[in-house]
Amino acid sequence: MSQATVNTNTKIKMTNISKIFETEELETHALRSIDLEINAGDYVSISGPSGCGKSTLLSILGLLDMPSDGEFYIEGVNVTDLSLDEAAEIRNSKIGFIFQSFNLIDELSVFDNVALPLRYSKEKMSEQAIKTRVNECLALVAMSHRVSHKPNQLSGGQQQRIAIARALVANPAILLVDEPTGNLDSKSGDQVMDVLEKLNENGTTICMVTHDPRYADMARTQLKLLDGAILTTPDIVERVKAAV
Amino acid sequence: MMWHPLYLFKHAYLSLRKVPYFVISIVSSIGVTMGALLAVLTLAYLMMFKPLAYPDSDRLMKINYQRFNANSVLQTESFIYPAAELLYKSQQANKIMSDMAMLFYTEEVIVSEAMQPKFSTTYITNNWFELLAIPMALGDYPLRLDEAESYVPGAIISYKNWQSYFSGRKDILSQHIVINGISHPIIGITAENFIEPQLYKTGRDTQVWLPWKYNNSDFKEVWNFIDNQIVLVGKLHQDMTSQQAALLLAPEANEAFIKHSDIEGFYKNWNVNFHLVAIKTELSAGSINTVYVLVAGVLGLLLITATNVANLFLARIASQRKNLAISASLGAKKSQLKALVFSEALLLMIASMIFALFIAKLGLGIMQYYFSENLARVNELQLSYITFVSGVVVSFILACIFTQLSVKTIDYFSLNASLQTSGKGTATQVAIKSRVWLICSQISIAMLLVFSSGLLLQDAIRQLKQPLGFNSAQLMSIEFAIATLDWQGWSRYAPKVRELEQKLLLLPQIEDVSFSRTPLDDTLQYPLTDVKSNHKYYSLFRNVDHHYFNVLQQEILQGDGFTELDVKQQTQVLIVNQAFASILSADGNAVLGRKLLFDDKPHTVIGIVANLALPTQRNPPARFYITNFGTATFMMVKLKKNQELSREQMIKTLFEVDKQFALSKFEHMSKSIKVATFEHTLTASIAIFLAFITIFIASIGLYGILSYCIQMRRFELGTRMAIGAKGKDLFKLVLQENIKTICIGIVVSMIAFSLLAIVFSDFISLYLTLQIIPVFLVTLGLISIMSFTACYLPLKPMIKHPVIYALKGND
Repeated sequence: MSQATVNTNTKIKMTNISKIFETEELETHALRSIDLEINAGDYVSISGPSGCGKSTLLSILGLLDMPSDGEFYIEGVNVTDLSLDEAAEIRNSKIGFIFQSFNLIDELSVFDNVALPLRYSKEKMSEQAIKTRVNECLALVAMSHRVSHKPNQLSGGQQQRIAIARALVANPAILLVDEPTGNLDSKSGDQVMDVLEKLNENGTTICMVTHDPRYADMARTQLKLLDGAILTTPDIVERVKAAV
Repeated sequence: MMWHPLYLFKHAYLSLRKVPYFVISIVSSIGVTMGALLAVLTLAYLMMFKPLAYPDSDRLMKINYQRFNANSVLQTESFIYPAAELLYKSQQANKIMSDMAMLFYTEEVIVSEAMQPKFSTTYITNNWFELLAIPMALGDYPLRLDEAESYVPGAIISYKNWQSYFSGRKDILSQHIVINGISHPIIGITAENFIEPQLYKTGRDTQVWLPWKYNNSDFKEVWNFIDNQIVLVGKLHQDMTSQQAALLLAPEANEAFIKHSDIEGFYKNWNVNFHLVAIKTELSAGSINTVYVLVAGVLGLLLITATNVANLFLARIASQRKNLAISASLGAKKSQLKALVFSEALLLMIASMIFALFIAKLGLGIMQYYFSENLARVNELQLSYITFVSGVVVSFILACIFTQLSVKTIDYFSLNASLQTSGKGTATQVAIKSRVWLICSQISIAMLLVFSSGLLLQDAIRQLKQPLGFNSAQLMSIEFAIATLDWQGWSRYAPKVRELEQKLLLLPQIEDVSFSRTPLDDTLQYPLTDVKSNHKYYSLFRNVDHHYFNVLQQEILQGDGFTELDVKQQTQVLIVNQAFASILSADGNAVLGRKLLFDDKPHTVIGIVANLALPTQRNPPARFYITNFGTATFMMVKLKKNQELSREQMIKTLFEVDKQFALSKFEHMSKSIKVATFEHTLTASIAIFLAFITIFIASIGLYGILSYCIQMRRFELGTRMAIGAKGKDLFKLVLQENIKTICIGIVVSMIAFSLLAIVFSDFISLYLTLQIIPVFLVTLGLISIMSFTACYLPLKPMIKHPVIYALKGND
């Protein structure tokens, strides 16, 4: 993991990232020359039509998948060519995931679900420290009263709030959010979005994939993807805003 | 079009190409077990149903000559020589049966051949060939082989013997062979396709048929002893039952027996009866139970394998759930999804069947090679339509079962695909319960079988490695026959044998000669009585000369061996082995010098020799040695270091001494030991094979179960990886979840073994020594490696790929 000479404020920096899926018959260019920089405290939304590469970009951002080309830094650390175990360490310490389908583990209680990232952490924490941190995060999403429940005893909105607490628990550099309201009714969806907005206001960096324009607008930086390329760069948006 | 069988098979083929390990696991495990089943079914059909290839074979009966004592208890079923001839003559006169043939089975040395080979010979009345309508490759049979009464020489040779010994020479019918001083012209060769009914001994094929009258039975006029080399076969009249024929044959035979036997003494109130058994039944009688056990065994094996493979199918379906759910959502009916799954299962079973046919062919070959003396009719074994039909039926049934099991889970997966994370607690619970049961059963069965195989293997190796108590290096066991029908008594031959001894000792290769039987022949027992205490012993004994202990290098622990004088003067002395000495010394008195009555004459114990550890005996038995007359037709020859004695030289030496001395056995001791230890070698091989196959099948089973469970939890494990779990964390997780079950399986197997050890204590206690600990540890190690591998392999594709592979939920 090499250090790059980047702004210490920069959480994510992608240069010329592309992703090609190859099968026996054809090559699909899912992402083409993506350049992207996300700074501390940003709230970025990525939207676009189906198949434009949103999920692929989020997977690469979250080190769930590897780019075919380009360079990628998280908090100045080059993460382009990590081994699978190194990638797991970075995911654990620097990235918080929030999935559309919550991805909570049914066999574990709410507490254990939230504590899970701490248990996989390289730095071993005491049980007391884990308990304190988990309770803090559950308080942030207003779910302290459901500590002992199992996920399938909760509503969809509640489950997603637990998922947010889990994503926050290891103090990640960035929260990667994949269609957070896709499996929720509008009321629950709004509640979840409120939570995210408050987190961002308190300094959490968020990058969210959504195709709901209403929620995309809540982000301060909106990226539009089409055929694997970014249509609008943050600079352009800024310039447009300044010009108006 | 989409559901056309060709489309389905193509789809199945393409889909299976992506999962080579899945295909290899199934085809190899089902192939091996189905192959074993097909081989055994072919054997069972042959023994139980396939008619013999002789005309009216259901009317061909083996005639058993039964004698019952005064209490009507059956004493013997073997013929007395003159009684057999009498029955045959009576048949010629009265035609009680449609036809009858007499056979006398033996082995003889062909002195006319340079190498003096020993052939399996059968003396027959000429109608034997007519009775079986034996096809001939060359020559003819009825023309020269004459009736029971006449002396007309002639020999018919088996096709195999013609090919192997006479190299298929074309002028064979102009050749003669000399047996027992009689020159027999070769008058015919049986056809290649002729299969002889092995009525005398399973695995014994005749190499030369000769006229009845030339047989050299020792009991030709003797009514007191049975001659178990005689077999009579009769053919029933069309409308007669075997019981009717037996009743008609009995009166004359009974009358003759009473006339010729001591009916006032030992044979008072005895009577003779006949028992006619269809030769087809007779041939299979000794093997039917073995076949039942084999069928049950391989069916059990197939059942275990099928259970394991069913798990692989479930894992496979689990990995395909999204595709199937998509097909279902696009309107595919359940029957159509079933057709997809069935085509894949059928394709796999067809591939397994093809592999199984190879295995079956191999299995039949192994049976013919190794068990020709244990299983009846194996010489007729070959792949038949029964093998193919059984293969097709078994494959179809298995494909249906696997499809049915897999299809049952499709609904659940369709539902599951849409409700990816929540609300699926119940189904997962069910999976956990069955997983625990399946893993536990796999581990306990595997542990039990591997542990038992380990004990068998260890014991077999111990027996094989055990020192014999004599030096077999450069030692040969040699026997000769006196090839004559005109026996002149031993006193005529003894001086010649002494001459032979001198001639042999003059050969530069030979160090020493002892006229004694090989120590591996160990059957003679004789009563001894302690002169002082009158205590009686019934111990093994051996007649030896004064060279015996020296030639064998069997250690004399106390006292002396026999001297030349002892042998010459037949001094009344004997030598006991260590085992016998410890029995004798139990009364506290000295063993040496003790007097024991042998054949009513007091013999003095002059020495104690070391025990022999013969391959057929687990513990050395008590044995004593007495002197023989210093000559015999059998001898042990010790060769000098790095020297060889050729068969030709031995034949020449024998011939120089007496033209009637025909070499009948010429074997290195090391070869005899190999033959004698074959049982242990076979046990060791079977134990290794059993352990291997158990580990293989159990590994597939465990892999199948864990693979299924891991497929079910793919999203969960993917999520764990997404939030930072590494490969080793997942491995630890899966291992932790299963270690308790694995331990329970191990404990269950040990409890089962203990119960077996209690129930079969007589048998199992032989194997229970301190050595059980390393066997247990090795078994534990193997089972642990197997379990760890079975936990790791299903995880491997997940932890060796980017996380998205697991999270996407499809290949």
